[in-house]
Amino acid sequence: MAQSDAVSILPESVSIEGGGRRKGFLTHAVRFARKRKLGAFGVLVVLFVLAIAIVSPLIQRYDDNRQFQSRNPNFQTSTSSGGASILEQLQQGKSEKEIAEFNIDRFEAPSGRHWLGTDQFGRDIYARVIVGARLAVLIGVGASAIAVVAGLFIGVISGYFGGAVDLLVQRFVDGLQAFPALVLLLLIVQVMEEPPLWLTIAGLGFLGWATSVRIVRSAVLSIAQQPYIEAAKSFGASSLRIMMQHIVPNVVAPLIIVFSISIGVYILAEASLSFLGFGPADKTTWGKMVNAGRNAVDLHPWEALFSGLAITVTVLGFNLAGDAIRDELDPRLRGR
Amino acid sequence: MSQGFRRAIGRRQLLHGGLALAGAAAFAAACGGDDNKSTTSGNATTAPSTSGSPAAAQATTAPAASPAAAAPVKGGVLRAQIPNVFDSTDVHRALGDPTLWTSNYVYNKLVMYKNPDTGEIEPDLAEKFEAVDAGTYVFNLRKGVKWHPPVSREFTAEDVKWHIERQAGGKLKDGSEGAFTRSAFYKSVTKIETPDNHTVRLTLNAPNGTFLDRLAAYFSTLPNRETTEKFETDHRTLTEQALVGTGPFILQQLRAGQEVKLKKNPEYFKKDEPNLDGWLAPLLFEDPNAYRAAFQQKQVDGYGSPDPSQTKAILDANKGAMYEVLTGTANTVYLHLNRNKQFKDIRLIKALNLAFDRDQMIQTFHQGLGQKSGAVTWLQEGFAIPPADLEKLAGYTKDREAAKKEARALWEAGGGPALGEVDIKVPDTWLANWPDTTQILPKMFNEALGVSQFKSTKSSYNEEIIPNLANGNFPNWFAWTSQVNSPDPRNDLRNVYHTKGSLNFNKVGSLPGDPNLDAQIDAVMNLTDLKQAVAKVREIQNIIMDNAQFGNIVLYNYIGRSANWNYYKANLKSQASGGRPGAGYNIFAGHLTARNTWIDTKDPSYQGRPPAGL
Repeated sequence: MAQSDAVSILPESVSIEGGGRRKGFLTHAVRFARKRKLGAFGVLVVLFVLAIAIVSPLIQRYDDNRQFQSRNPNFQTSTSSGGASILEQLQQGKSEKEIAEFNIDRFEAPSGRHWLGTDQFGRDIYARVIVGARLAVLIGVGASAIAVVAGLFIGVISGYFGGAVDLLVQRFVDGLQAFPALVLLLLIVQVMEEPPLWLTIAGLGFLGWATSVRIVRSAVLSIAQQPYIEAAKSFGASSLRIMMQHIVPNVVAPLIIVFSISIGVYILAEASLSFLGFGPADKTTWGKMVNAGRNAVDLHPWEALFSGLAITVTVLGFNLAGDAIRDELDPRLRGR
Repeated sequence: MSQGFRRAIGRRQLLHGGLALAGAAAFAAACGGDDNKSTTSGNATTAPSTSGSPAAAQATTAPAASPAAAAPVKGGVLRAQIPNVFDSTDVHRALGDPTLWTSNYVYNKLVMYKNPDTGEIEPDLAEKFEAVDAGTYVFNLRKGVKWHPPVSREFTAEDVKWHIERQAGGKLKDGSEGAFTRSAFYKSVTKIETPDNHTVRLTLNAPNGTFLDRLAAYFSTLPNRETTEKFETDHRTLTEQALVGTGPFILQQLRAGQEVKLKKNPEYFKKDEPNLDGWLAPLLFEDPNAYRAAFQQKQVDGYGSPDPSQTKAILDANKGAMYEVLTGTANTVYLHLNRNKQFKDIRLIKALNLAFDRDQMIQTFHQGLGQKSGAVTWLQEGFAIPPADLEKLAGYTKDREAAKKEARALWEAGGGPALGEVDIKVPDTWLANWPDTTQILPKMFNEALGVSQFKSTKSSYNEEIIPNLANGNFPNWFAWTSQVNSPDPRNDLRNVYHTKGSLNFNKVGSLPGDPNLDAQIDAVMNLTDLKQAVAKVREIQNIIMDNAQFGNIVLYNYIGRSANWNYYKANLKSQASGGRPGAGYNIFAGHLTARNTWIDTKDPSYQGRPPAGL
């Protein structure tokens, strides 16, 4: 009984089915793709974004801050322009492009040279979207990992020991969850005065661990009542051993679900922060790009469009993949 | 003369920098006049003397003014923004520009600029003025000038006396101390004589060649005594009742969170002014798209985006119905390096002055609409180093490779690599317009100097920069800082480079190896002959430029582009004609709005404009 319960919440890929032949990874993947087409699409998107993030230095083509400019063949030196100032030349009816020796290639439409066009500073949007992917993944995965690990640790202790420890932890979680996450995050960012990247990740993770704690605690409360836990206690196993060997392995599955689903949430949260001007100022982020592009979205749509698209597709991918993983790992939803 | 409170004000304007920039600069600049600098005397009917005018020396480079297409027509209500971030209703104590700018529509000054860019001064409340010598000035006031209702009495010499004494004394009516922004300037007036109701004779504690220039600047408006004293304990609360003046417009509404309304003063002493019946100034648009939409629907008559390409796109899409205005922006872009901390060695400052690619940054942030400035900005046409000469100086040359090579050598020799991380802060108000400056700036320095030690982070004028100026702990920072608000730069130079200067935060002149500028600055401050003053300022500039401006590095001033519907005849230095853009005043000229601005209801573009009433 106890054994069958424990096995039932493990991923199917590691389950043992009545002594039958173990299915290969490919077979599982094909079955998964057939059964959950949207989920498969999400996984593909996630893999694609992860691949981009990992190999971005190889595929970004240009430095994300490189400003492209072109020499003006008709440039006149100050001598040939009669010593007239820039303003005077402009007022004589010349355009700023005619006057400058170099012109920044700003707001260029997509082309062979700039696949997604250029931004207001003449930087390649494609390069910036690619570099932004690295940061988005780093923040999403990092914050999610922090939230899950912290949630696991605190949730197991809270659920296993119960009593005053549980009460204290749960009331703190109540308080944390009652506070609007974005407001709390803005508060942290404001207090820290442009925090370094790791602190942004940690802040996001801190805000997310409460959810993980709730889920882990619920699972622990259920598992702690199982006979095999009682058996372990009767054999004199220490609390640490019981938690590590019998409880933690059984709450991993729901945590994987939380982890996969929340990555998209964190990417979106970071994009929101950057959009509002509270993201890492010295890094290229998608949220910052959307913000920079929005002021002229009707005239020069490329930057806002492509960075917005990157956020949308990535978050959608992580959400779809997360949902599919949940469906696969949850025995109640597995057959659907 | 008073030691420059002007730049002190400019620094304080930083508090409002971002807002002022976006909407107001384009608008405020669009206000109007002529050439030639002042002078020793003038009166209402004859042109002031122009002997020795620095503007005259520059006259050949000034754009030719084109006459307005038609004579001004009376009537109509203008709808254009006023930067409405008011901090006080008391112009003697206001720190921010919005109150002072608005006061130029409601109040008058003793004298005013005929052309703020060159500095020619003409009478305003004074019918005639005379510099007996550099330390004694006599003003003959106009007769029959009336304060706005409900005061409605005649303006007299006693009003001028109170105006000076209140600010010099620094006390409110109840005897308590008040924070009077320009008290240092008025303390230089040691004697005020009013032999009759319409004559004022001022004696200064020392000769001051810039005294009239100070009195003509936008912050020297004269408020009404009774009204000011009535509201002086509650001067932070906005109410139209607190600003009673003698000027062309009467303030009809000045309330927090509401549009500003000005109506014509029917009893204005300049009989032909104003052209407009009124002025309705909507609240500043926080959303640039909303501002643009309002302009396209003619709900506002003029528009200027911080991104000039957006303004250009609108102009191109409405050819024949709109015209372009180009204006030098009074906010000056600086690089400030702290000589009390990392940049003790002048070679390091020189290295960064060379490493900063002014042309590139003008392209980057302003799409080429900008011009390099020396220690005296090009906006101050009479005193500035001409562009061709400026381009021969270190940091201003076109040969970037040579500049970078020299910069690297200086950086090495000055021990730059040993400084470790160098953080160039960028204030949040700048980042609101150009958010990626923190990426662009360090990249430029690192590449130019061949290092990787530069970084750039966000800062705040209010919280980090301004509070640490006086104690010398200010960070290195880049952004626009002071605002050029007068054509004569001498007070600015004294403030920043004289050892007794109120803004000499970098201890210029008192550090080893620094030249002693004090005597030269003192000498130029006493000059009333403007030709001599220009020559002397040029000598001082050369010393300052040779030393990379001692860390207070003026970089450039950019050019604002705005669009006006054709029916809106703005207050411009020269009107748009034949496809050429109009030229706005670089330095605030709001006092000329009454004279120059009007609405042409017969222009075809007027069709479809929503009715405007007060």
